[in-house]
Amino acid sequence: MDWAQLWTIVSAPDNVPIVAMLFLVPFFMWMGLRQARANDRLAEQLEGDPTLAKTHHRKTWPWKPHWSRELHVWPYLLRIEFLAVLIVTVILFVWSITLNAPLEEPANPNLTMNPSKAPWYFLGLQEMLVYFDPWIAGVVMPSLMLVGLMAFPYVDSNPLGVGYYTWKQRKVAIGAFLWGFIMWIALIFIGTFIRGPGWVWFWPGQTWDHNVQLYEINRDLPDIFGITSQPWKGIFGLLVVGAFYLIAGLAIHIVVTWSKFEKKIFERTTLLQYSVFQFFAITVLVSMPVKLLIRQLFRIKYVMVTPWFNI
Amino acid sequence: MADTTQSEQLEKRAPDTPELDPIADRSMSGALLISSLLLVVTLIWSLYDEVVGQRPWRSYQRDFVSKYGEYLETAKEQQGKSEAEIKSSPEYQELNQAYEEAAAAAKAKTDPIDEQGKRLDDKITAVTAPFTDARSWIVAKTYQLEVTESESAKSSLRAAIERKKQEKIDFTMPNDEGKEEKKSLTFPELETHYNSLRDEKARLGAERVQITQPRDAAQKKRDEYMQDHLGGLTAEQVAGLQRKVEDFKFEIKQINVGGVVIDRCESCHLGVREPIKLTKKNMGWTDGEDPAEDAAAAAFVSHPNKELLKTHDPDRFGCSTCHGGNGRGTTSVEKGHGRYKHWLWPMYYKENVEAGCNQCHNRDRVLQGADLLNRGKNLFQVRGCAGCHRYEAFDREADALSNARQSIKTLELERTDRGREYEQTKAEAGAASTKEEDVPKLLKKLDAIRQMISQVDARVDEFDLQAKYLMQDVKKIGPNLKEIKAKLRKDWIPVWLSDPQAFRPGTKMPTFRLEDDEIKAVSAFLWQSALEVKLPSQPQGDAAHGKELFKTLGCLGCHSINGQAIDMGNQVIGGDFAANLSRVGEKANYDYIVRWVHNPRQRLAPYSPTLKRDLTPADYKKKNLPFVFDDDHSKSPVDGRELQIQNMTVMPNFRLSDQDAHDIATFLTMQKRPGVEYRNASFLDDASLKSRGEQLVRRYGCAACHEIKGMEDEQRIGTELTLEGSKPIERLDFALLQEPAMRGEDPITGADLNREGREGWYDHKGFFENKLRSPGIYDRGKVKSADERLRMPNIYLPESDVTALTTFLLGSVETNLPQSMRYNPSGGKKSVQDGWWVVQKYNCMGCHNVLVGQDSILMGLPMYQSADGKEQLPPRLTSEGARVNPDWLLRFLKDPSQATPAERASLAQAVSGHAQAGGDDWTASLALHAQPGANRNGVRRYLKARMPTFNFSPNELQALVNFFMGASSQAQPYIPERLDPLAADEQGMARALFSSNAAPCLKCHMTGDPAHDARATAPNFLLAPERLKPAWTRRWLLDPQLISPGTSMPSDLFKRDQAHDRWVFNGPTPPAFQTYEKDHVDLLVRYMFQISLEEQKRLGTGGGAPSAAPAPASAGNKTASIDRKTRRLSSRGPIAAIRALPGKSD
Amino acid sequence: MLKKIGTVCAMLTLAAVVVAVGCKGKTKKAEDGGTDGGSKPQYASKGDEGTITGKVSYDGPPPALKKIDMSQDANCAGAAGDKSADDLLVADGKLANVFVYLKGGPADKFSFPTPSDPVVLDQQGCRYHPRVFGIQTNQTFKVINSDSTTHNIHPSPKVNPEWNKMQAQGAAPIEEKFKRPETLIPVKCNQHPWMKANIGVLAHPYFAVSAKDGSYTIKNVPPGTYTLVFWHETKGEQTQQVTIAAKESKTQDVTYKAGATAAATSMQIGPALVLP
Repeated sequence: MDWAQLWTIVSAPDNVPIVAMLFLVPFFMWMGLRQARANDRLAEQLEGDPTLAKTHHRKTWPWKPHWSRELHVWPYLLRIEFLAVLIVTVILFVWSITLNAPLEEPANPNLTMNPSKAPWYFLGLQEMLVYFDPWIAGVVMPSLMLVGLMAFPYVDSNPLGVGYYTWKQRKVAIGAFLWGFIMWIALIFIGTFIRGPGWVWFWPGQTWDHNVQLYEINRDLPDIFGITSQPWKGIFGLLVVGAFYLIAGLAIHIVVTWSKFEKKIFERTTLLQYSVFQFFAITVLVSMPVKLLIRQLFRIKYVMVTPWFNI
Repeated sequence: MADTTQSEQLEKRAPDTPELDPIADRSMSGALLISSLLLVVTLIWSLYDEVVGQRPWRSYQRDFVSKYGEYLETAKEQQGKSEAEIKSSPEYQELNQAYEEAAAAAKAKTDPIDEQGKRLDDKITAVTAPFTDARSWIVAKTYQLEVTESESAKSSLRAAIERKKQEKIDFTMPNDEGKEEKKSLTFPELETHYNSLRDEKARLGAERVQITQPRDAAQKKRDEYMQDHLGGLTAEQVAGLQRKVEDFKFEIKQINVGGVVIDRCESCHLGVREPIKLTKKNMGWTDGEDPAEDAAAAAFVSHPNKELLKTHDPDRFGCSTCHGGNGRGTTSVEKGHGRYKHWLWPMYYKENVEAGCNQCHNRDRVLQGADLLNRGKNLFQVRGCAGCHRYEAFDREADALSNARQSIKTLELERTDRGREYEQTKAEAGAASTKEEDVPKLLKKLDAIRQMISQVDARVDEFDLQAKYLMQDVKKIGPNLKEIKAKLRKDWIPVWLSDPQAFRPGTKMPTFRLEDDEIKAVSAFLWQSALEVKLPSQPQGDAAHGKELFKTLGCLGCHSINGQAIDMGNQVIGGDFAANLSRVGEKANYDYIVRWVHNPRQRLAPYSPTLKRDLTPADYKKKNLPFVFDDDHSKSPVDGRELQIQNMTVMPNFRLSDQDAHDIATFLTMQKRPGVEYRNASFLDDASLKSRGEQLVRRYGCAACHEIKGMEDEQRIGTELTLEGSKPIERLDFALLQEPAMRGEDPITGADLNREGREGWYDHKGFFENKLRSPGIYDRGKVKSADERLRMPNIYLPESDVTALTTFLLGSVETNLPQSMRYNPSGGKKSVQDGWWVVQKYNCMGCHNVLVGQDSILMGLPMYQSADGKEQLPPRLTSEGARVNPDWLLRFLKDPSQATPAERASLAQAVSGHAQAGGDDWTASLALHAQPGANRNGVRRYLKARMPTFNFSPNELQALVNFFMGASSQAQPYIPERLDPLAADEQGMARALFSSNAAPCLKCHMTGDPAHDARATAPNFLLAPERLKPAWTRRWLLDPQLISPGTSMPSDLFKRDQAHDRWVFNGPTPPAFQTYEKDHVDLLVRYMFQISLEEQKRLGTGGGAPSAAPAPASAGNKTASIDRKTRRLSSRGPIAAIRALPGKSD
Repeated sequence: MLKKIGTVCAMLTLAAVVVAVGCKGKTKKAEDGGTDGGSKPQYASKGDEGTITGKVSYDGPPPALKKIDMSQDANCAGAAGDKSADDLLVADGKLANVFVYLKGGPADKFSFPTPSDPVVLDQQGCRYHPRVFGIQTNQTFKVINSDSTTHNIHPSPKVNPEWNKMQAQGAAPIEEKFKRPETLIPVKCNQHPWMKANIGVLAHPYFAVSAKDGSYTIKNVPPGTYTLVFWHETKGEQTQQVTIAAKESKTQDVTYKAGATAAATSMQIGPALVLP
């Protein structure tokens, strides 16, 4: 979109959250990590000084003499929460005054708007439809994500880093999460700012032209290799996918067993836990960006083509 | 435990200045304070937003109240002044005095009555209490009596009631002197007493009213006088308004029309319905000094057209219904006016405001008061838009025609089927296998089928007839291109096609964006597909006389011409309904023009819609018929179906004598620039170009406006526009101009529309206007091959017309209003609605004043400005329906020359004559046919302007008659009122008056004596009986100026004779009148309606030769017979009536 | 979203405006009272008025006096008085019946009292007397009929209401008024087509009609610069600029050419014949 259009879109009331997210996500990430680093330092300090570890209970601040050992919820926690309440209330007030609900004209069944976009929080899904066939993108993937999110706590064999910010003790978990989360945000961002009329990819600065015409062929991987007849296509696809799983799995394994600490954690993990983790990590976290890339870079539509579904 | 001890030790160990605890020892009060302050601020803000921000109308209302209040102050003063003046005027004084006297008189009588009344009241009050008390006791008991079961209880109750009734009731009541006196009555007595008192009171009341009646009347009179002479509101009324303003309620003013329309416009536009006229000036217009102020002032004015509001009461229709915009919106001006992206029906801009009328009045061809919209509709028809773009109601004839033809086809199929069925049944009936008892049934069926077949035939005939009439009605804007070989200069054609505007500025012919070779191809095709005929060469005429005729006949009502040509300045003058003839001499052949002005409807060859080709003499020869086709020979010799026997032009037939035709043609052929030469265009005969040309002609839809060989049944090539106004903006194709337009730039100039405050590009208005200004605009920057480009030609409209058409298109919307709100008239109103289509189609308003307040083109022309000129104007038709007898009007419209049967007979002869002469070759159709009717006007023979013959089809005739009747709200059918015959003496008196100097009627009215009629300026009385309606005639005699302002008929002919409550002649009357008691006007009317030729002769003023007498005269009884005949026929429907008219030259 | 905030601010300002209006409004209403009518001040004489006199001459052969054929109405044919056409009266090179009046200058700046005595139009011998004459707005216009026949008086003005009244022999005089200035209103009798008169209606008293000898005089003209307009029924209009100093009396002669004819009157053209 060109800059005029960019402004209209950014200033559209229903895009406030996504716009805000562009700033909030990095900010809170920074904050979290800052805390984490502080804690890690404390952890070192404690490990270095066992006496301290004995006496000191507050986990998040390096110990200083003459500090009370524990703090009461009232007033020390509540007053902070109260402050937060105030600020949030103010924000909501201002928001509700300045922005009306983004109502539009009565729906006209003879006329679908172009581009017609889902609400911002679904734009990620809508964007995924570009890369997977509807069944995968619309049903399988989302449910996998949910199940995955449910499963991760159980595949976590790391006893440390519970209840406080830390990076050292949870590199993999945090990394994996950030990877997924940022990917999701990115999809939403693309859906909002990059996809113009006809769901065409417009670079920022390019005018969203309703008369846009473009030429691009998306082929299936088998076709490139000249495989045309059915079962072979399927089989070939299956092989490729299999290979992808192997490679991706290996890569992930290397990552999760990078340092000595990680190795220790890895040893605590049962085979079942690990394979579940691998499965979700590959299917949700890795395949998504890979698919996006091969689509955008090599214009490959599907890798595995079967009469029932495509990947 | 251990911990604590530990910590104690630690504390002891602690240094003296311990570091502060980052959580426990840090105070957050600052942050808390600030944020809570913030919260308070936002809270206040939210309240403000709630009260003011979301309710801008409040401030408007406050503003209005102050301004309006002040204005009323000044208004009151002024009104007070003028009121004082009136009060001082003698008339008012008189009235007032009358009132005072009446009041005094009344008072004298009313006082005693009031006195009496007062005493009565006292008595009544005195009686009421004891009476009602007793009554309620009895009623209660009676109820118990009704409901109790046991006999004993009943009887005891009865007894109790009786006792109550008997026992005396004591009470005091004032006697007539007002002294209290004791009374003691039983209940019945009390009751009667009470009732009598009440009756007395009622009687007094009635009496009082009786007495005060004259006083009230006088008062009413006085106040009415004040009202009439004040013009505007009285001081009291103004004061009333002020009170209203003082306790003004600040609230959303909402109109709710059955939940369909909910408008809150009046929350800010508060002045709209105020009884006093509010102008910007009154409401503090600063004339641009202070925009905000001006905006408010402009918002507070009262509705510019109160009349409109009377017919469209806002409480019934709301505001947004007509104006568009979001009636519910109250949060901002943009919201309210619907001028934002998501409101689909934004408020119409000021210049297009009439678009709002169209959603309910889309069936009205002419809508009184909506001139711009009417102009738009005119353009849509006259400029030929309707040729390419379907628009409901604009192509009713064409549609009806195709329907009729379709039904004929289907009926013919049905007929054959029936025939087959008949045969089968017959066979079955005869077959041995059929059972005996079935045979009667079958025979019955046979009969049934027979009858059905005949019915089918009947319907076919009727449809065929309809087809004939419709073929008469369907017109084309452009000339018939089958005749160009006879008509045009060959070399001129390509020149014209390349740029019509250059040759004839403002022409209807649009400019197609054609390349040179395309032009060549098109003209070649047209030339080669034209009929091959050689017109007989006509003798030259007298140009001077031609010019005179052109000026006076009324040609300028439709045509325009350069003023120099007719010695009237050097601007183009005349109407824009038809072509501008300034250079016609350069294009057309003399012989053809003669033929055309002589009778434009006369075709070279008839077209057969069934055979889809033009018939030739050969076709007629086969059936050895003469090559003659006209209203009476309209069936095809080949298949007996109706033919297209007229040129499809609206140009009427002026019934010119051949000589006059020659003169005018000569004058017209002289209309050319000196020494104009066109490049030789021999390629027109190049057969190789023809096919290409045909493609182009089809592609550009030339057949929409022109008759072209082989393209008679071409379909419309444009999009339908009936609902164009409500097309979603996304469906309007701005092509490459869309993005900048949406951004609010002018895509052509790149100017920033928002900044320059010009109206948008990216809305319907913008789309229509820009497209009309230059249709090809949305092809800008597109790479398209020639046959992909937009076909719509450049139409070169002046800006005002662009607005008119845009208004029309904006108004062409799909309305979501309930039927109750739309305009579906019935009866007279309906016939007016339908009639307008015909009236406009033939441009009646070019010569006549049809609508009150509308000026015809002729009225505007210089030669009709002078006092004498005005007398030459065609008659006003504003009261035509009330004036004339519908049957007569029908006959007149059919043949305006009112030709006598004798003349008709001779015409019929002439036709058959040249039929013989013509034999079987072209001569018959090439010759100038004998004219229908005579070479003159029917009624006003003194007028130089001539009412031409339009060859209306019976449908249109009926529509027109109904139109005029409906327009003057006349009941149909019309049964003439019977006038009581003149007594002998009355006859004498009337005659005396007619011929007296005092009433020189026959000085101006025609008498049939040519010498006299040359000077006459009014119709012949002999026409009155069959033509006029007595009631109208009476009104006309009383004050002609009321009916037709500026007429040469003087008013004040009669004066009121209060004594006998009648009208008497204003001036010296013949002696016979001294004893006459009756109304003079009635006398004259009756005389007029019974005047006969002999009578007229007897009137002295040179009776004139009977031959010269008009239609009815030729046989006094003839008229009557016609009347009787038509009357009888009209019961069978007007069309039958027309068919049966002697006028139809049979 | 900024849009919305913008509107909020707009409302704040608007509210401010409304408050302001409260005070501002008053002053405006005051002059509203006077704005209607636009009446001019009464002219007050300073006794320094001048005079304009002159002669209207006619250059060319005097036209032959045609007889009017009044045969259609015996009473006219029989009536006394000369029957020759009088639309162009030329006596030894001097033109009569030319309406002379002042335009612009003080004549239009002030309003002048309406004379109480009526202007009389007599119908005698089926002719109007006088044929050309001036009248002030709202001055009574009285028509009398001294003929033994019936006439109808039919003025066809442009900016005044049109009327057409019957006046039988010996009927009461018709009294009418013209509310607006208009030069000139043609009057005719529909029964006697030759009967023509012309009325010059003016808001001021500075007009005259040239006599048989072509002379005219406009008295007590306030000093100032005017356009002096000469109007003749058939010969059309001529104008001269004239400046009158205090107490000055000027002589303004004018000559009509024989050839000239009245220019075509103002006309309206059929709509939409101009090109975009």
